[in-house]
Amino acid sequence: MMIKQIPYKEFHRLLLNQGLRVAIGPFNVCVQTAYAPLAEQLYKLYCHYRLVQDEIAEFHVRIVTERLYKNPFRQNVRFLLDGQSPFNSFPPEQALAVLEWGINLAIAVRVNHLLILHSAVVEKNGHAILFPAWPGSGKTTLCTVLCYRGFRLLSDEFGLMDPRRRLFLPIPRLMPLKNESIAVIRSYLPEIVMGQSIPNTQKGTVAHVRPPEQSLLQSEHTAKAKWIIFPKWIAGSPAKIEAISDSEAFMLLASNAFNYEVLGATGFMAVADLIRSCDCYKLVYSDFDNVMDVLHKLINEA
Amino acid sequence: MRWRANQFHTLLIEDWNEEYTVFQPDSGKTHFFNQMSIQMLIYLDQNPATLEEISTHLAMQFQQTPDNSFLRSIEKVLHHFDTLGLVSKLHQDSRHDDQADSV
Repeated sequence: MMIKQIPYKEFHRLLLNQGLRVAIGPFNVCVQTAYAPLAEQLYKLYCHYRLVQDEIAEFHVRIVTERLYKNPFRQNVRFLLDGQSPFNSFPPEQALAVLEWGINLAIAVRVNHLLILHSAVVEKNGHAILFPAWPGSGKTTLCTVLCYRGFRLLSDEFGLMDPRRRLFLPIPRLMPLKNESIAVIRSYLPEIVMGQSIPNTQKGTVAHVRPPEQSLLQSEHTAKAKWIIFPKWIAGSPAKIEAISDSEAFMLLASNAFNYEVLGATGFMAVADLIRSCDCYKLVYSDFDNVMDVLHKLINEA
Repeated sequence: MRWRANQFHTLLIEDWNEEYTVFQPDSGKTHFFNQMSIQMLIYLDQNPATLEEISTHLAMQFQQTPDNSFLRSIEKVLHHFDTLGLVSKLHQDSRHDDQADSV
C-alpha cells in the first residue's frame, strides 16, 4: 500500500504513535514525529512511497521538538537515530531537511554490506548511468532533470552497489535542490512537486523534489552500470563529454565513496569490476537541453 | 643496505594500460602507481637489492641513464614505499637468516 492510499489522519496517527514504516529502496525506515508541520510536508512528498507492514525497520528515526535552554519560548527540532542524537538541534522550519540529512547519515554510516558511492544514479534502456560527484557539482539538479525527462531515478546521492552481484540497487529519495537550482528547476520542470523552500540551512536554501512515481514503483528493479560520467556544472559552458582513462576513473570513484575503505579488498575488486564494465567520461554542461542531447547521443550509439 | 618488498604476494593489483591501482591489505589503502613503481616492487620481491642495484636494473629496463639524478629519484620512491610499508630495509643479520631459510 502506498502512503497516498491512507488518509492524512491515519498517516499522522502512525507518525505520532508506533511510527510510519516506509520502504526506501532496500531499507525500511520507521519515522516518528509529533511535529505537525513536518507531517504535512511528508504526506505530500512521501505520497508515492510504499508503506511497510510486519517487516523489520533497519532505521528508527525521530524528529522531536525541544525548548531552548537560553530561550524557553522558542522551540527547536532534533533528529534522533535509534534514540541517539548525531546533530545539534535546528530551527523548526528546517525539520524536513534535518530528517532527510539524518536518514542519509544513517545509510552512509550504518550500511556496509553494499559499496556506497557518492553518486547520482539513473537508468535508461536497462542500463544504469552513474554521475559521481562532490557536493556542489550539480548532480542533484542534473538528476532531477533526467528523472523527469525519461530516465528512471535510482538515487540522487547514493550509488548502492551489491559487490557480489555487481548490481545497483535503487534508493530513490527526495531530491534536495539548493539555492539557485530551486528557481532553475521550477522554471524548467514546472510540473514537478516540490516542498517549501527552507532558507538559512547549513547548505543555504533547500527545497525537496518529490521523486517520480514510476521510479518509486520500480524501486526493486536493480540495474548494471554501463556508463560512469563525472559531471560538473559550469556557467555558460557548452555541454562537452570527454572519455577519461580507467585509472583516473578508478581513483575518482574510489575517493568519492562513503565506505570504500571499510570494505577493503571487496571494495577494491568491486570498483575494479565496475570500471572494467563501464565507459567513463567527464561532462561539463550548463544547459539542460544540451546535456540531454549529449546523453541521448551517447546512449543511442551504444 | 638492501631493500626488499613486504608481503608482495598479498597485494591486489589491477593493470589499467600500464597504470596500476594496488590494494594493500595490511593498511587497507589503495595506491596508484606507474609502470616503473610496479617493476620496482616486483624486482624487490624477487631480489632484495641495494639502491644501486635497483637503479641499474630499472635504468636498463626503461632505457634510462643510471646517473645520480635517476638514483636520487629511485631513492625517493623507495623511501615513499617504506613509509607505506610496501618495502623495508633488509639488515645484514636478517639477510643471513633469509639465506639460511632458503637453503
